[in-house]
Amino acid sequence: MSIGRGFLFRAIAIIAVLVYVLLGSYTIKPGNAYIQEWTINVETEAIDSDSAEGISAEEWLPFRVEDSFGFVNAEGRLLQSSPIEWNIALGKGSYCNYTKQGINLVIRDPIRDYLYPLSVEGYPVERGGDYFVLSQDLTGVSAFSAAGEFLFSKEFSSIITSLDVGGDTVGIGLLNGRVELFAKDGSYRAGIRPETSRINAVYGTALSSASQKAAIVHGIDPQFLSLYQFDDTGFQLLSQIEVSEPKRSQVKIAFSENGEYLLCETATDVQVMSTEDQIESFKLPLSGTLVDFDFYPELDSIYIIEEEQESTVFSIYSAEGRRYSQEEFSGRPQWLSRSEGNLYLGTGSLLRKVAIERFSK
Amino acid sequence: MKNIIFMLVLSLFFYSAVSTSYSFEWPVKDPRIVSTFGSRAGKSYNKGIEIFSSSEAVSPIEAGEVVLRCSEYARGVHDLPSPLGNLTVLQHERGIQSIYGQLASPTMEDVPFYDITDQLGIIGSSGTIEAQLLYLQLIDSEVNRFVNPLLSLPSIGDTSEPQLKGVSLSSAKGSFPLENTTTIPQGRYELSINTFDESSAGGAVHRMAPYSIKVYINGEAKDSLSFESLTIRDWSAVPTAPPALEASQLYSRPWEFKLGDVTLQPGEAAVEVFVNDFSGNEAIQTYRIEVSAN
Repeated sequence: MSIGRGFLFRAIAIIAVLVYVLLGSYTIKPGNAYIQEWTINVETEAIDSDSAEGISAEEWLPFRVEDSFGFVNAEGRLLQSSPIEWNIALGKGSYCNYTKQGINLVIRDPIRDYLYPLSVEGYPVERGGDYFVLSQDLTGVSAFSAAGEFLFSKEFSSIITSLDVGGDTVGIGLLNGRVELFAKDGSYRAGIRPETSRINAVYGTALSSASQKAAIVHGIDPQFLSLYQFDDTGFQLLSQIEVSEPKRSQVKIAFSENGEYLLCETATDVQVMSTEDQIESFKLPLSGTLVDFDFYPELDSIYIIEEEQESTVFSIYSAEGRRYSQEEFSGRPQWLSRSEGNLYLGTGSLLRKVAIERFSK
Repeated sequence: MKNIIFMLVLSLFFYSAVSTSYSFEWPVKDPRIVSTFGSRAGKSYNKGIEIFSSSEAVSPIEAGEVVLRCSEYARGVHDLPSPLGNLTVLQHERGIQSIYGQLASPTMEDVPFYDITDQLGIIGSSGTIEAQLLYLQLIDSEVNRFVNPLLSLPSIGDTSEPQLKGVSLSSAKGSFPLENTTTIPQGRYELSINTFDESSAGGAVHRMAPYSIKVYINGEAKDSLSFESLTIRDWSAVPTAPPALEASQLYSRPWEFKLGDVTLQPGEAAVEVFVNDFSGNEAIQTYRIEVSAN
């Protein structure tokens, strides 16, 4: 039995109308497309030393993967790669690759091939373009510029639990419940001790030079996330939120670049807070161990990498907390950075570039 | 009679004060000290002690509440690595915090309290050290001081006295090691004492700072040093008791302590040096010199 041509045309027309009604009339909202541009295996990729010579310092993009670190350019050329000795403090155009003993520390500028030996021992971290060496008992810190210039050295009557830089201000959070602010020349700016809890201790500190705000996670019973306005003379409390799932260890906390949003780790999720209206906006659940996060306000996007059973879970959320995507990669999470609208993700021995394209209606 | 009663009451007061300060237990069995409070550590002082033990289990010095856990290794750009390795900090009564560093692994996330009989970890070599040692630090958070743990722990029965290697006086006129000197011109001198305590542990001999040094000249107390506690002054650690010198000022060379200045007048001078370790062992040396008028 054959189907008549007229029936076929009518059926197609009905289907076309249905498709238009169901999909064609749906307004496509502005959003982001994530395109994986390239992936390189740092263990097997050859270093392109010829390219390295002609590439300007701004184009050197740092990365780390499982056992090595280095620099690539946006096209995926491996400009430099070295094994990580024990751990590494990695800046935009410099690094300090250090041993477990934390001795013979040297900041290296691979672009100009300069070496800057440091006169102290301990473990370095890079914050805001400078290097901060934590003393061997974690009660002191020495600061150096990326060119190895000594900035200051401070000791405290407590363990250092957190450290962040906002513009010209260095904030140091202490287990005794204080946060001390210094200028980069070492001069003292201000301090605060939010005495709100049965035990006063600071677990996380973040500074934003864009909004002149400081965020502190502090206290046990209860634990709070407090937001302050700060300047050279002191702190002014803007808001305080009780942390429902407190931690008794370092808490990851960071502002978005523009200072309008705040990400804060708890035991079970990532709290997102708008610093403009100072209310907790929403929580993003964690399924594994949080390794890093980033908030990119220009694209209304939040990026989270977690470790789950030796693999990486990479999640992208909207600024309202809606999950755009979640992808799992083999290998432990190592690196998440952003440069000119592109994401660089290190998992296992692989480095990926994910280009973000904004599309609108 | 009144004086005797007064002395008895005073003795009782001091006894009770001392006995209450010895209130903690060793965190490991068969402890051997390999680095003492006040020893030079980098550009500052060692603000705790390092302990060797043939047993691995680490217990709290007293029941306490966990206020911090740290892992030696930082991943992601927001974490700080811990040069003290995997560490746990307990909060005790009276504002005392005990810090247990260099543990083999981070302590359990879900244990907020530890009793004195609990095991909170295993001695390890995490952090900057390579040997299997426990790092113990005590902080009196009420007065913001690092307290010498050995003043609050039971005696370990050390009977060997500290080594007193030499005393020298130096000025623009020159340096005068007192063991080789019989005559010295009058004037103002900087007093340096070369001394250390020793401990055998883990098949090695370890040098470390003594507990106190006292100097008398002709029976009059001149310079002294004691490592009871360290405080922070102008963002640097200094001994709470005078001389409140930073480590770079106190230590001129390894185990050579610059205690301060002394003024010698013409005539005979007896320089007596007393060095004590933490177990109460004492090394005494007396130097008799002739101070000339020029």
